[in-house]
Amino acid sequence: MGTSDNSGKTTHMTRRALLGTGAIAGVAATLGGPGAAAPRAMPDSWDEEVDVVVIGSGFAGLAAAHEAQKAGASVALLEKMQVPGGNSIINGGVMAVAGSDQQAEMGIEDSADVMLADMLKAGLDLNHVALARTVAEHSVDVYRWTVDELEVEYKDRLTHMGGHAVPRAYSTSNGSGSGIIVQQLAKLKELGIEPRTRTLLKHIIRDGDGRVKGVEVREKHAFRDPESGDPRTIKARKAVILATGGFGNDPAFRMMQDPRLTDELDTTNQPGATSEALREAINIGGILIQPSWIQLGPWTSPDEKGMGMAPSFVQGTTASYGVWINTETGERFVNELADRKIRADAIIATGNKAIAIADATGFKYAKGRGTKVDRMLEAGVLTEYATLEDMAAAHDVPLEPLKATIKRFNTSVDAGEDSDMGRYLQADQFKLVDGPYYAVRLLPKVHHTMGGIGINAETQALDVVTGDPISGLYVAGEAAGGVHGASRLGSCATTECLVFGRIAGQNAAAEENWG
Amino acid sequence: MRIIGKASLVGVAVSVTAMFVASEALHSQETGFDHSSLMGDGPASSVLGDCVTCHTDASVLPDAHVPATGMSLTECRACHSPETTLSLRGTMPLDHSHALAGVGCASCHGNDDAATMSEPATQVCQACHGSLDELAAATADVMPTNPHSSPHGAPYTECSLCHMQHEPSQNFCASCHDFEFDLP
Repeated sequence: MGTSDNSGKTTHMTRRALLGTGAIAGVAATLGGPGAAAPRAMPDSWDEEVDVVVIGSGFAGLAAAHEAQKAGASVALLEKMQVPGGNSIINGGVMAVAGSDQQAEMGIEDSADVMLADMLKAGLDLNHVALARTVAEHSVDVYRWTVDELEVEYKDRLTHMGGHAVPRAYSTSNGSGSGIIVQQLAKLKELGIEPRTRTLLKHIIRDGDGRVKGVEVREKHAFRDPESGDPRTIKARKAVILATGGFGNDPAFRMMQDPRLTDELDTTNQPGATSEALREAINIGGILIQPSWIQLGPWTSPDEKGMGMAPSFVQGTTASYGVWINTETGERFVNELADRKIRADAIIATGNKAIAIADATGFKYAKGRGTKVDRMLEAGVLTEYATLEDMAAAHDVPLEPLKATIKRFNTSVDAGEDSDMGRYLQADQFKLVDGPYYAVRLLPKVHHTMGGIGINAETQALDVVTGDPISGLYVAGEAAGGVHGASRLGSCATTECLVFGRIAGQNAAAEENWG
Repeated sequence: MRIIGKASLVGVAVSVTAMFVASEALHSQETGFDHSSLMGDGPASSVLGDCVTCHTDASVLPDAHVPATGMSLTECRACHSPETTLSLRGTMPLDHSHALAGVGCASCHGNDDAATMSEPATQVCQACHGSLDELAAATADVMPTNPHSSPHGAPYTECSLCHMQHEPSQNFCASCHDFEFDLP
C-alpha cells in the first residue's frame, strides 16, 4: 500500500490541510485536479471516536451494526441519503433459504449444496465458490435469525424464483424488503443505534502501516450536491464496514464497465445506488473484481418507471402460471423460470418485443397472493383482453402460432413435462384456457451489479497489491464482488447481505483496537 | 427542540416571536430582504399578508388584487380554496403558508438564532398535523396511491422527504415511480 508518502506519519498534516487548503490538495492538483485519486492523510485529531463505523443502511449495513453492537462494540451507522434502507427497503422482500421448515412441510427436497449448484450455474461458474457456499450454508440460520431476533413476518407460501431448482424463497408479509429493514431499524433503535442519514462517506483513512483507521464524512449532505455537507472525521478503533451497495444507478461508472448500459436505460435502483464509496475503496487500495457483470431484471415494463409494479405479476404469476411470448412469432422464447441473465438476454434478442401473459385463473391467483393487479390495470402496466384474439390483435401477435403455442403448453401441463422450454412445472400447475387474458410488456432494466470489492469469506477487503486482507476494512452486500459470478439469482441477495453483514459485524467487533 | 401544542391544521393561533426567518441565504438572494430585523420579539402580525415588506422589487400580487395586508391564511382561502383552481398550492413556499397561518419561525425552530438554527424533527410537524397513521388515514383516497402509506415503511413517510418549507416541495416518490402528486 502506497500511503506512506502522503500519510500523516511522515508529513504530519494539519487538520486545516486535511480540509483541502494544504499540501495534499496541492499535490493532487498537479496530478489530476482536486479530489483526484490519492489516499487521505491521517488527521492530527479526530472529531469523534467509535469502535466500528458502518457505512450504508441496507440489509448488510444494518445487520453489521446489529451484530457489532451486540458483541459490545460502539457503532456509528452512516447513511448518505435522506432515508435509511438503500435498495433493500424498496426491494421485493424475497429471501432464498435452502432446506427450510416450509419446504419440508411442502414436501420439497432441498439443501445448501443444491442452492450452491444453482448459484454457480447462473453465475457461469465465475462465482468465488467459498463466498457462494457461505451464503447457501448460512441461509437457514439467517432466516431463523430474522424470525427469532428481528421478528420478521413472512407469507406462508414459498415463491419459485427464476434459476432455482425448487421453490425456496420466503416472501415478507408486506411484499417488500421494508418488512425486514423496518424490523432491523426497530431492533437497532432498542440497541441504541439509529442511522445518521445525510452523512456521506468522503474518504476512508488508511494509514501508512496499511491499516484502515477511520473515515472522513460530510454531515448534512444533500445527495444532489456531491460537495455539500460539513466535514467530520470519525476514528474507527476496530474497523470500518462498507455496506454501500452497488452502482446500478450510476450511468457513468456503469458505462465504464459495460458501455452498452447508457443513461438511456432505466434502472430499478434507488437514486443513491452510485459508485463513490466503491471508488474510494479502490482509491485506498481495495481490489475491484468482476465489475462488468451487470444484471438486467427481465420482469420490468416500459409502461412505468423503475422497478414499478410489473415484477410482482410477471415473476410471481406469469413465470410459473403463464407464458412469455415473442410478439413477432407468437411463440415462447425462453424458459420463464430461467435465471435473470438468460431471460433478459432473450428478451433483448426479440428486439424487446415480448409480453408476459396469464389467463383469468392466473389473474385470480395473482390477486390471491396480494399482487396489486387492479392498480396495475389502472396504470396501464397490465392490460386485459376478453379473448386471446383481442390480445393478439392489440400486440400484433400472429394468432395461429400463438394458439398453437398455448395448445402445446397445455399439453405439456397434462403430460407433466414442458416440451417447449423444459420449465419446472408447479404442483398445482394449471392450463391457460379462460379469458379474459392479461399481458405485461417486457423491457429489461438495470438491476444488480455483481462486481465489487474483492473479499474473503470473513468479509475482509482484499488489497490490490498483495491480495491479502486490508486490516480494519470489511465489505458486505452488493458492494462486495464475486458472490454471484456472472448473474445473481433472485432472492439470493437478501440472504447474502444478511449473512455477510452479520459476519462483518461480528468480525469487526472482535478486532483489536489500533489506538 | 420546542414542540408546539396540538392544534387544527389551519388558522392555528400560536404565539410567535419572529416571522419569515428561515433560509437567510435563499431569501436574501431572492428578495434582497434582510430577515434579521424580524428575528427579535416583534409581533407576528406585522407581516401577515404584507407581501411588499419582503418582495420590494415587484409586487407578487396581481394589480387588481384586494389589499392583502394583515390577512391570515384563512382569509386568503376565502377566495383561494385549496379545492379550487385558485388554490395557492405551489405558488409560494410552505413557510409562507405557515406564517400566514400565524406559525412563525420560532414555532418550529424555537428561539435559536439564525446561525444555530437547525432542521426540526418530524415530531414538531406531527404536533400540529397529527401522527403518520392519522395522515395516512386522511389521504387514503388520494390517487394513484396513498402518499402517506408507503409499502417501503415509515422511513418513507418522513415529512421533509417531500414537504419543504423554504424551497419548493418535491415529490420524493417520483424519484422511482410515476406518481404525480399535487403536493403542498
